[in-house]
Amino acid sequence: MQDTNKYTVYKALTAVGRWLLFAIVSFLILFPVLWIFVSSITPPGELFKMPIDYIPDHPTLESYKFLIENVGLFDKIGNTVLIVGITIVVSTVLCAMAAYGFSRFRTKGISIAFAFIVATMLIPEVVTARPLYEFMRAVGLYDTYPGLIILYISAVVPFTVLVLKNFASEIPVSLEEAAAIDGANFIQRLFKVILPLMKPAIATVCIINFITCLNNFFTPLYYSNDIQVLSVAIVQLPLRDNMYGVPWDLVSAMGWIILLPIIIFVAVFEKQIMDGIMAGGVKA
Amino acid sequence: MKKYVLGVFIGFLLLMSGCGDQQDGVHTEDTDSQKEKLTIMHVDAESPRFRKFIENAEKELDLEIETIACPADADVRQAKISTILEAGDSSVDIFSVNDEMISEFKYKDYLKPLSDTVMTEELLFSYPESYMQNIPMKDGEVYSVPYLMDIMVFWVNREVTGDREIRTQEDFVALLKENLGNDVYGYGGAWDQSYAYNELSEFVNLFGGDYYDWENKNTREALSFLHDLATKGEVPVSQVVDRYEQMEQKFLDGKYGSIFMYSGAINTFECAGAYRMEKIQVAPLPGFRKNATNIATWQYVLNKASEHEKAAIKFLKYAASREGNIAYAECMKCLPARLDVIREEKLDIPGFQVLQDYVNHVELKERPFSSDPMKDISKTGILFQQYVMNQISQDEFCEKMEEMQKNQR
Repeated sequence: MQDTNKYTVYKALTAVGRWLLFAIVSFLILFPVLWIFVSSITPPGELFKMPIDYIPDHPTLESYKFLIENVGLFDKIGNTVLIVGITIVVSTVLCAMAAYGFSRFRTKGISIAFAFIVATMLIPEVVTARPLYEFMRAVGLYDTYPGLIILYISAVVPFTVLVLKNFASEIPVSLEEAAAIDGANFIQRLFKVILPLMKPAIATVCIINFITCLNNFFTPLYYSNDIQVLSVAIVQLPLRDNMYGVPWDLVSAMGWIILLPIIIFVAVFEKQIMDGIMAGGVKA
Repeated sequence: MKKYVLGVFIGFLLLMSGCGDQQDGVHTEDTDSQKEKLTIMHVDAESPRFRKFIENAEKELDLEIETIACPADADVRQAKISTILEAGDSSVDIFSVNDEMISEFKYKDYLKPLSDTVMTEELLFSYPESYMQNIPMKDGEVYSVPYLMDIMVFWVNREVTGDREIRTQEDFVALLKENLGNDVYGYGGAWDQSYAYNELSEFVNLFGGDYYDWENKNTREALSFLHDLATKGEVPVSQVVDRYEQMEQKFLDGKYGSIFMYSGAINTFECAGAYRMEKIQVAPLPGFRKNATNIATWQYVLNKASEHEKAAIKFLKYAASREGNIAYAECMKCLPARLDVIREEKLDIPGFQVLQDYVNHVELKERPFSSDPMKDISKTGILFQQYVMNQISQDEFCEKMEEMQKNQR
């Protein structure tokens, strides 16, 4: 009887401990997000009030209104969707085929090519910034949609190839051989056997690349002036009242606008992200 | 399936070519309209007030002006503009820069001198003389057109100070020593490492010191005064991490009785409904040893690689003109850069009268900048923090400042 009681207490304590840990971690992650939202609906004159108002005295949507009316928010959302959308489609198609090639065909040249692609992940963007800036101008791609899309694609290719190649390597060759015996040609084997099996990994890289592209600050900042995406727009907000203060209410509103699709995306596709990460063997 | 893949690629290529056509379209329009084109990268490009100013300028000058926003963050802005200028990129003709940026850029071969075309000798007299010589000028050439001026003014919160007049150093010291309530101070500042520099140079001005002479008795006295503020608890030590946003909020909330802050903050206090007689107002500069205060301006510079020089000069001449100064000031509700305009006009901007008094009665001094201002501002701020926190002595502080300034020269 005593043992049973001990076990029940132990179980209860474990559950409390688990929930406590969960609550602390959730708080640490969610509080900044909540704070960004609270700041976005707080009038500028109350933003740095002490003691802190966790719920603003005079909540307002003025910052959002300002962004919509004056900062061309919808244009920036449109640019972001266009660039990120095309980047994801093109990079996924290219990388899925490349990953298949890298996993199935083994020659010295292919191994070196794969190593080169993956090694580019190690080069900091700032190192290539200046020569790439000159190059983009020289070929007339500076401040153009195609130019930005190419740069976005090049930024996500190494990671995507790495994940998809690892995943494709796990798919048994015998499945392809069976399809071949049944009369499937190379294209049919690729599109009807391999790619459907790669769906979880493809979903994962799409989601991760979506978030990466949305957060990409350096590329649009350096390689465009006119074409503005959300990640850059957040630092280009007007110094509304005086030249020596950051318009934190607008920055918070813009931050929330950038965060919202990411939160929705992750919430909706959480299962696929986890499946893909585990199946691809990527340590997140 | 082959058709599907082919379709995706053709669709992509069509989309790419469609996007590329956008620029061609603009080009055709340009040719049709016969208007000279000009591109300005401006820190206020997204502001509706600035857009109104540009629309007026377009009509006035018969130009087609495109504005591009630039980052508000100082470091990111500096990096972005430097990259464009250094690369000889002609996509932007005119940039808006602040004192820190012009102090660096004028030593590089990025900008077109404007002495012969815009900033003629006659016009130079309209701006603060010492400012023009030390900030936009190098080797007798002027490299920028100031369009907005901010004066470091003395602000008081009447809810804290009451009706007392703070006219002299003694009045100021008396305010510091008075018990105004729990966690309420007679004076507050922003001593974050990037902001302490403003406060330091302001007090060096007030004590009649010389920012480049750290053996100067008055400079040393200013340092001791600031040090005592912190060590005697006359200002909160926590202000070493405060920037202007935090300082302004504390001032608005009645935690500080007075602050030194740029005149542009008038808009912030007005938006918060606090700029009124019984709460926050600009007071005359307290008389210390010298009646001098810092100023800061924003300026236009012309890209050396600009392909629209004629149109750019036309715009810069307008920006430097009396009409241009008035139009900008009234659209943006800020002080213009020309002293004669401030002295002779009645501008419809908040607090104009009191700012006019500053211009008429106070010596306006530029902040001292090196050719690598961002780095030195930060270094100075760190040294200052160490000094007021008693981590280094005054002699050590002065020695390090001198050493830093010697390396700059």
